Amino acid sequence: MANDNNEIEEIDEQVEEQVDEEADEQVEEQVEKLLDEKKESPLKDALKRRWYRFSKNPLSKIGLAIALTSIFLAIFGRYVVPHPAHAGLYRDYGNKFIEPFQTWTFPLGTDSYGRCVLSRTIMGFKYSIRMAAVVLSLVVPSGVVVGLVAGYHKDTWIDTLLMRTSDIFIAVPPLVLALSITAMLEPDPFYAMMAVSLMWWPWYARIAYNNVSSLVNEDFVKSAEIMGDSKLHIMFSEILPNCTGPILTKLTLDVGWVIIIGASLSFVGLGAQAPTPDLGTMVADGSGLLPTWWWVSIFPAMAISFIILGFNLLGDGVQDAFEEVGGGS
Amino acid sequence: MMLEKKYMAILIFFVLLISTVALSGCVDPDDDDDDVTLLRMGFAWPTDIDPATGSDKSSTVAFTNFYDPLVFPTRDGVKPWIAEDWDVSADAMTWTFYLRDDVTFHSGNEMTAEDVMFSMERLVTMGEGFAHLFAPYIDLDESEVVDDHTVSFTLNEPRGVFLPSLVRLYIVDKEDIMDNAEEGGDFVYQPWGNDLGRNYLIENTAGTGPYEVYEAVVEDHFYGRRFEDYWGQMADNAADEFRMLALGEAARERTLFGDQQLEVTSEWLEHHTVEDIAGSHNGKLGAYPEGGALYGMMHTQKAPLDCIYVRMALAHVFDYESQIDDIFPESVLPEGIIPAGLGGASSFDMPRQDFEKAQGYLEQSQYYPDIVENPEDYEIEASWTGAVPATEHVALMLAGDAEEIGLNVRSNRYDWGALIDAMYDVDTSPHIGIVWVSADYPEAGSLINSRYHSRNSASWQQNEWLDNEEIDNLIDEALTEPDTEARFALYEEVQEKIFDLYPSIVMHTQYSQHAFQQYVTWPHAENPEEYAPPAGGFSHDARLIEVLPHDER
Repeated sequence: MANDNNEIEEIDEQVEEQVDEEADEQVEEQVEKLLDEKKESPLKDALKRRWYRFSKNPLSKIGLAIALTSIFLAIFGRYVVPHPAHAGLYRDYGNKFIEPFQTWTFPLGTDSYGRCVLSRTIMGFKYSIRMAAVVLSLVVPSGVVVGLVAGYHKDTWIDTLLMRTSDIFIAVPPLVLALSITAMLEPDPFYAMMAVSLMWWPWYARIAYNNVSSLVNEDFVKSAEIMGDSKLHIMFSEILPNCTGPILTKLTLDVGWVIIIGASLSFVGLGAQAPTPDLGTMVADGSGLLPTWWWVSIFPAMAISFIILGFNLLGDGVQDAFEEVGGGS
Repeated sequence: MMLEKKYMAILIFFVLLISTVALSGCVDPDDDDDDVTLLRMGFAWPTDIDPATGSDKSSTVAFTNFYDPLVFPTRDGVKPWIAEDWDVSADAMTWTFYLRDDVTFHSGNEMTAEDVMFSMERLVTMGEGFAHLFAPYIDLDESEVVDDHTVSFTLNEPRGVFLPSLVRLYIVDKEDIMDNAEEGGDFVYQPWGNDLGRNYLIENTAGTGPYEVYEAVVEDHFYGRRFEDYWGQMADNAADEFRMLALGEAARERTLFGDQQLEVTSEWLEHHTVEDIAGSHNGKLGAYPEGGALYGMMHTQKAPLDCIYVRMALAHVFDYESQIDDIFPESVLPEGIIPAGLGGASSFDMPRQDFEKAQGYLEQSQYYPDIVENPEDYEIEASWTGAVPATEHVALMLAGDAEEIGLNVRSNRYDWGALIDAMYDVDTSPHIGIVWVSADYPEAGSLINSRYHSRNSASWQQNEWLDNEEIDNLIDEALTEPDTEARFALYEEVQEKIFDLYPSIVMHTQYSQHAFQQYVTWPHAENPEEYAPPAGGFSHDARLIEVLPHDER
């Protein structure tokens, strides 16, 4: 009987040990999981906080909605407009100058060729947004890299060379240069984009430079240097992530400015060529028809305002989001 | 302190606002003078008022009103003007002109044969403007002043079109010009040793015309007042002042016209705009021919237009009727390659839109297989100038129609200056230049020569680059033929040869359209068949345009 009891105790001990081991493993797993979650939380928290700050202002959300709508129409406009053929070599003089809001066929009326103003206006988003996308995708990386390198090498010949060069470019107004270049070559949106890009990058260089200059003596940069990290690693992995706020804000606000410059070039005949539905060209073509056939230029003009307003509101929201968080992650 | 700044800002704002409003109401004091009638006309700018350097539309209008030509163009040829009569020698080499003896310059000097001779010498020596009409043929050494009112011009060779060309010899005041000529500037002409008044005539006139310039802002306007000692007839209600304004922008013209600060709109506004301006402000609409046509000039040395079948195809895809109905209702379908109305212009069975025919021609072209396979390699650039918005419609119409038969035509907008530059070189000339060209003098020979003679290839009036020796010789033969009938027969022969080569899409015979005020009577625009001479600039003849006095409007 005693042997039986001993056996039972041994078995109990074994079971208890087994249970304890399993419990320990589960706890460890939970702790690891919690620790993992703990590792992600600063980023998530920061994003949540930024979204909170961004969305606190309803105008920012309106801006975001307008910007997304503009981008959607720029990409898929052709598929949502009532008359996609009116973007090309289409004419129907029998339907010219139909007033807006008179017929569902042409809700915003027709122009001097009998083309649907609504269709052409929506399809005009493509060229405005494309202008902004191409220009900013060229100027932001190049400007930021220049500013980053110059800021990290502050008070050296590299700083002087790069920032004085950018000062020279800043001195020329982008619109004036773009007008000169496109007038010298031939009216083409490509040349217009290149010309604007050529003059726009220094602003990003300046922003990046100012931010990098203030960060270059921070402890985390010095620590990385002491640990022997390469300059490239320090600039792009340590410093750059701390400058994204102001760059992102400027980028969003610049979308509107680039679109205005693109529309201005088109207005003076140096942008997209007929029959391409370009908002600036449409405003220019319609300006001679004011006030009798006001809709030919007013609706494209409103579309330009709509896009710019949207991106400006979005830019303000981005600024709020980053400023409230403290400007760095 | 903040409050003070705020009040100061408000004060400055209102001061600026009131100043702006007050200044915007300021117009030329004469504009409000009810005793003075004004004829204000809009023009595409710039305008050159020197008859030895200018030749474009607005410049020729200035010459018509500030100067007098030796002979005046009519619908049938020319009529006596400063020259009352003339003789020509049997060999057609010496022309003697008998001048009026009652003509006075704006300076008060009497006009004599010396001035006529000087006008020719000055034009030929300076070598610009209409000099090309005389410079190669005039023998200045042999030409002479016979007496105070007789002048004799001797030519190097017989020249049948010499007489009609003289509508572009505007008489200038020798004494006034030589008194004001500058020595040692950028321009010194020999043997004169001075600038022949080139600088002086930028802002001044030295003519005998019905109006004399009293205010010149070269970039913006020329104001002329009636010349009291003018020798010729003026309409009863001819305006006291003739003013040329730099315009062309539809919105501004509409506003000025609505405020009755513009009597006649400019030429290059689109038809629907002109019609709307007249309709909205109780104005009149009128149009007149000037011996001009709208040409789609096809570069015959540039692929694929160096193939006649491609040119024939393009000439047969263009929608001539729709262009007239929808874009230029004031103009008319062409009857030949030279506008009807010019002496010696021939009629042909002109091409009309016919896709089947066009396709047939295209299929005969050596380029056809390649065009079908790689149409993007054969892009045909149809160039037009932004200064004339209506031509964009034409370019796009041609592009759309050409697409129907698989030809890739692209509309390309140029600034006028850039298009002129491009057309000066065979390599930079566009495939197709869409341009209006008018006759310098009222005869077909003027356009045949400027449009198709290889001597004139490097100009904005030609983009065809025909370089055809046979045609050149025929044109030369025609222009030298003194007998009008024989000359017109030669014109016909050369027009047939040109027509057979299909170098141009002749889009329409041009009628220039304007809106003008109800209180203006403009015979040339209201009754063109009787009054409008087929040569540029002569229909804006302010002598004959009546402007009702303010109290009778």
